[in-house]
Amino acid sequence: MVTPDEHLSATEIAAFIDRTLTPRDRARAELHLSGCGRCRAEVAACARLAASAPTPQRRRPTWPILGVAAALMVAVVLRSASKPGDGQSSQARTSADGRANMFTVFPQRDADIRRGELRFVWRRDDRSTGYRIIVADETGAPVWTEDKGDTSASPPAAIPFKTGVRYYWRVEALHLDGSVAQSLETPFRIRPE
Amino acid sequence: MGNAHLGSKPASAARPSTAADYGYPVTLLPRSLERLLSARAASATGGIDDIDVAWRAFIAEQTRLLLHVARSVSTNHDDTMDAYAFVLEQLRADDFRRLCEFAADPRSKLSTWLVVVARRLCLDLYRRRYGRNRGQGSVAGRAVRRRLQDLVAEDLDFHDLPTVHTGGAELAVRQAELHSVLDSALMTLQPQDRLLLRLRFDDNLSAQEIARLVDLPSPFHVYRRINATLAHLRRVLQGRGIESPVP
Repeated sequence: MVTPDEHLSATEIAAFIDRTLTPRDRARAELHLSGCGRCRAEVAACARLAASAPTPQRRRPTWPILGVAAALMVAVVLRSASKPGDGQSSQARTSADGRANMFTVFPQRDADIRRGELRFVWRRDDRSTGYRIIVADETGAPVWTEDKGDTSASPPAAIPFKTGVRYYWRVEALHLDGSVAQSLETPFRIRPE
Repeated sequence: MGNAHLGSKPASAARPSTAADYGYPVTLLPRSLERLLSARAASATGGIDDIDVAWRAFIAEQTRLLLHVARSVSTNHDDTMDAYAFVLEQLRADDFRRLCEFAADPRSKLSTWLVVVARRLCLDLYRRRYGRNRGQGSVAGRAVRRRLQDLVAEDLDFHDLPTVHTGGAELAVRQAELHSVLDSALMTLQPQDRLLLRLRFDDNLSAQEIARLVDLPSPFHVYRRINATLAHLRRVLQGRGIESPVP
């Protein structure tokens, strides 16, 4: 557990970089980091190193496996090409290290939606072990975050979404190998009931 | 859906001992680490001792990452390889104590944790060898100290020594006053806003790096937030009679 006066442990620094600290511990870590140049320098250096780190060396796939993978890729491309308009509601982010994409489905970009109808839906990621949905306001301050096992989520009634305000939502999926797939953030607005 | 990284409170845990027990988001361990820890457990109970095989497999998987970290804190190939060997030695020390600690509380990805731990170990090695780095503006001084250690026989050029700049006493007092007012104004900010400013202006991180660290959706959100925070700070400073950054 982080206290404001103690320097952050290696575990806490790694979890801060990966954004996997609990909200309470994250707030404590932020409080400490805002006043501790030494820990901040370590976080900054390690975040840079982690972002530029090479992927782990794994056993190379054999040629038959590569063949099957290529066939699957062709099938996926052909399938998505045969569905006009399917990509209109989906947004994906592909990172430089080739992590998989995540696709948001609903609400679509710039949708005007009633609070009572607000429900977030995204596409399934076959490699995912769980999802995290993040909704932020225009300043980027998180409004609602939740971990989910399935591909939809409804915010509790207590979450104060304001009418007319623009919000951004995105979804992340964690894979078995520890990599994370993310969607782009999708803006939407709450319209009066 | 498997046992995901989703945080969950234990239903009947008497005494929390793992990340999941505490409700932390739990990541699954990479297979190579699981295999290593299983081999270690088997070896401890007199089972088949394939711990060396598992350790070699783990190293083979993580070597590029560890070398990447070692290179980041080294100045030449020999230093890099020394640091790499030291990290491996320390990861294996005390019956894989560090890796066991990570496995008991895997709050982050293994790769991120390895980056932090390996970097700390590399810096420990260099501190033992070259002494602790003291002071902020001593890059040139560090280089000289390193040369003193590495190349004792070589003559040193006194031009390499860092120059010390001093200002007038009155200016120093005014600067100290200004810093004091600024520090107290900064304390009126939310910790996350203060952290944003520190990361941007003290540590020179890019907006993209900051966005990733503080969980903002994009660099534009970082700029917007920083601008709003600076405007607030300016108002606070003006309220205290500070109109210019010049002492």
